[in-house]
Amino acid sequence: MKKLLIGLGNEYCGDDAIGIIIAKQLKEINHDCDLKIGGLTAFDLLEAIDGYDLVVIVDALHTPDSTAGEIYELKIEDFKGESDQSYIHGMNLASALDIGSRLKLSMPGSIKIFGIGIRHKCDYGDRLDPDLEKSLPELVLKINRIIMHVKEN
Amino acid sequence: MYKEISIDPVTRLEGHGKISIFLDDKGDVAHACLQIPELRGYERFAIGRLAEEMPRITETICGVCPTAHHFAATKALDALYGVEPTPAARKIREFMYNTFMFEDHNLHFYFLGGPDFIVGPDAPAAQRNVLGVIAKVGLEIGKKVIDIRKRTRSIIQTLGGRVVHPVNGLPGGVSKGVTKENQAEWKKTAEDAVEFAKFTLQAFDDIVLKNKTYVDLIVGDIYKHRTYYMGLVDDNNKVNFYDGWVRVVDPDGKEFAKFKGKDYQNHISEGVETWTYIKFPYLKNVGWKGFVDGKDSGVYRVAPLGRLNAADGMATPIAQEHYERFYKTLGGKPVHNTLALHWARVIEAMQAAETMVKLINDPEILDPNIRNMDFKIPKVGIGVIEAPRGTLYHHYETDEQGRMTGANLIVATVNNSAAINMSIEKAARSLIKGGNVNDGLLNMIEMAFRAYDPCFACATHTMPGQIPIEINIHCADGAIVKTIKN
Repeated sequence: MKKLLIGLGNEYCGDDAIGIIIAKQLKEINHDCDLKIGGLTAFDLLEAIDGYDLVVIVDALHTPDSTAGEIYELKIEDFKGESDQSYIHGMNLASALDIGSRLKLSMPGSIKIFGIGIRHKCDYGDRLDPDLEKSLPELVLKINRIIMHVKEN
Repeated sequence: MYKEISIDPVTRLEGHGKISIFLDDKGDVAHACLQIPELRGYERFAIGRLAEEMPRITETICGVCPTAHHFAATKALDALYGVEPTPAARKIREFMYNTFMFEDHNLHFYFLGGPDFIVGPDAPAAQRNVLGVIAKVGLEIGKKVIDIRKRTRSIIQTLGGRVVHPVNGLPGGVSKGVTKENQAEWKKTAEDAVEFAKFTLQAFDDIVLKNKTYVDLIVGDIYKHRTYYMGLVDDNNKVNFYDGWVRVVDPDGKEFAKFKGKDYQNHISEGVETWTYIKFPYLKNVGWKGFVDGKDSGVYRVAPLGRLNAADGMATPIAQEHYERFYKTLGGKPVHNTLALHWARVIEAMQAAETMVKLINDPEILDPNIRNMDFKIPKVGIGVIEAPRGTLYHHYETDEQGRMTGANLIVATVNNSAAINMSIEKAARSLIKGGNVNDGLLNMIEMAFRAYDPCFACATHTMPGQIPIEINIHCADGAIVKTIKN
């Protein structure tokens, strides 16, 4: 089984780096996974996931209803209707997969998407909010348990 | 008394922006402007950091054009430490950079600005996107676009360490060389890139230039401004994306200035307005006269149209043929028609592909000597490069330990910010009459700035990601009378 960890975010925008940090730490536990990090566009994602069986994506999440430090497991269906396919940054994973399937590219059998609730959308700096930093080990373990379950099945 | 229409934020460009259109009581456009509400604090954020980190820090300004920032920063470090890259390192940088320009220009043509022409400016919003393009050009072509993009980005991945946010730029060189195996594979990719560029130019010809309505749109007055133009040229005044002289021509096409990037502050000043975070660079020796055209106005334009106008030709033969046809078709130099940017862009993609072929076939690119480490004590370093969206300046000042004490970035699109405002206002005035506003008209206004392929420096989104689009129409007392959202 070919596996890919993707950490999305900006390492210089405070809590927006959480996806990258968690993906890197998951890689340390899961040596058999490949890793991609950074500010990936929908097309970058489309190219990145080609040829993988399992893809795990982690990113920061900030909505009016989200709680800082919570893990939100999202599905592709959550993104449909939220995507604007008229420009690169309006296109999200749902758009990328839609394009991929229309072009008959090979798509992963399983995609797990995790949003980590953050308090501050984009503060400049390369440090996390202290409370978020404290909850990091637990976040990594929780997500890893879910990944292990998928691998075993 | 004004009513306001806002397009907030704008579709199909990088970064966040809000267009506000103010109508008078007759429903005609009194004024329009583009506001950038995003604050990019990298210049402040850099202070206190080691200058050698800047190529990796500044490339996170944008997820679409990180390579431009990476190499502008690397060149600034060359200047800062008083070191020239080795010949092999320079060729590797140029090869990687032209590969990036090729794939970025194709991204814009097929996925960003292209839908305006390929699908049509009056097509429903749901079709004016990449899927509409694929439906028009065919599935096989869609696959070819993805394939050539993947293969060219693989070059950047191999040489740069990462395709998004590369890490190979170092003062005096690069961190990774080209092997014989790389060379064999990339020769084929470069040749295919040339063939693909030919296909794209033909597609532009078939879909756009043979359509009288589109040509009338390109040459029409709605999208026309007589401004100065700026771009990098080599010693023969031919377009160069990586290095050379900054050349400026006036609205009549006459050379106005030619300088090395380190002297940019003698030629460019940056104005500010209270209603937006973006600055408005202008030619210092002409002066700021407001958002107006003409020889007496210091407004200038960059990016593909700016580069072609500022140069005396392209540096590669096939691109040069198309350059000559471009000016013959559009009535001579300089071309002031904003929508011609799309055509200029695909001509540049051809030069990028031809340059890829030239460099990867150069035996010197295999030389393992890829780093010059004869460093001097740092103080000031300025790096200039042509990003896809225009001339990009990185200016660093440090203490003797190489710790940043100051930074100034003129990010490519910023050079065009005044012209973008002017283009939006002119298009709005021409198209909106008597308060008549519909989606098609608003898209045609957005076409005015999308042609610039603007990148207002965005970071990644949190998930789920979307930039909401909201159009607010305000009556004179500020109340919203109508809102259109996506």
